Amino acid sequence: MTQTKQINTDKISENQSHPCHPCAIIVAILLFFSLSIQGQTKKDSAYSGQVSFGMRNTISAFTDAQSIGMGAGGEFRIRLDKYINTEWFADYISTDIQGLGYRRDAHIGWSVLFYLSKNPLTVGKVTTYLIAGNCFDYTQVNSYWPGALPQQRWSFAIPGGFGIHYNITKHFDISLLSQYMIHLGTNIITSIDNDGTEQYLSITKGPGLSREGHLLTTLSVNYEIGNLWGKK
Amino acid sequence: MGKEVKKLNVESRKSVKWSLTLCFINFLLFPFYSFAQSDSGYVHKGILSAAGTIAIGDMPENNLTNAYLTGDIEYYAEKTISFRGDVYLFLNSLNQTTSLLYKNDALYFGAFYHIPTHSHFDPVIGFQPGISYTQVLVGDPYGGYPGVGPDVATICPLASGVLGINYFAVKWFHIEVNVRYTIGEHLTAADETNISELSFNFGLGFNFDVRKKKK
Repeated sequence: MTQTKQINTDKISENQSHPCHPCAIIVAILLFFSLSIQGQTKKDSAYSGQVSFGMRNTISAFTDAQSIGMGAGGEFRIRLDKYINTEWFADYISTDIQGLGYRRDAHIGWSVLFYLSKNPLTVGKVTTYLIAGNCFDYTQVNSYWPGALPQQRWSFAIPGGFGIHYNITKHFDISLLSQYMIHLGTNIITSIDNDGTEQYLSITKGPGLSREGHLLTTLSVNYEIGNLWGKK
Repeated sequence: MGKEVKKLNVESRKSVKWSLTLCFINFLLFPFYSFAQSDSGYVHKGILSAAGTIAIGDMPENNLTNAYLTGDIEYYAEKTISFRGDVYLFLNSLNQTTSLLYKNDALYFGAFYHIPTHSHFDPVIGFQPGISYTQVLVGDPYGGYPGVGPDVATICPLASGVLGINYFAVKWFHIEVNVRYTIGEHLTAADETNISELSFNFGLGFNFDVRKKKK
């Protein structure tokens, strides 16, 4: 007798309602972004063009079977205003799925950072920020059970969350970021099955799109290497 | 009787590890209570250094001790901040009876904070994400064939933290000692292996000043 425990709860095919269309989210982000740029003062524009480069480690939680994965990657930032920065990143994450399989994710994307602190990136002070963006992803899920074929997909994702920078020097900061990333792509369903003697991970591709998400916590170190369009 | 001997061995191993840890902490603190008043001037912005070292790593979960040939390139963007890239080339495991790793080469890149000491000593704290190219030896899962063979090689993401100390004896050379803790997991269809490791390396580096000198 086969006992199936469904892990992936994201079933768009069963729930056809789309409470928030991804295009609407993107338009909202771009609108907010453009309004913020319009509102900048001449003095604030002196910060624009600052480029920093960094390396990062990411912990991915609440994916298949509530497993936790770890990844490494890099990023660079281009600052647009005193209170607005952009972050361009790439991550490679691997996750063990309860010893029954594993998953690999590659993320590449960009985010906009909205600084909440009055004087962002001040030495010795914590700068808080909100973050939102877009991301393209490749995911591959494998099972240790020889009967299960690995499944892969490309997906589009929307990450959003909050973070902090701590500037050790004028040009160097340590950042901690937590964001929830919602993937919109092919529906890969993982479940832990039992054949009577042992548990195994089965992987199937479901109909329609999935709206799968995971929580990403990122620790990074960044250094400002210069100004893209010269100091003003 | 045998159990008592085993227990004693475990306890003596623990005490050796603690002694070595305390010895290293003492070594790290050494610059803070010696030569505190003299500024060597060797640690400054614009240093580009390259070092070659030998590293020994301990993987407690797999009961393995590994040897590596390592090298690093470092640039001091400020007196207190530098970027460093490290390469670890896996030589072999020292415990031949419990051979597990076939390949475990790694690349790291990150930033280091240099604690100012105003002396020839340069204690550092670093954060370096990285990747490893790992291949492990696995047995036939169905038990059809005896012995072990190499599984497929794979790239694993790594996170690492480094504590170390450089000693700038003369203008062109420095000696460096580092302790690194790496977190990582090797995952393939045939095997999952925790490759987290505590490693220690020691070596000699060359320094160049790449700053533009004002005329």
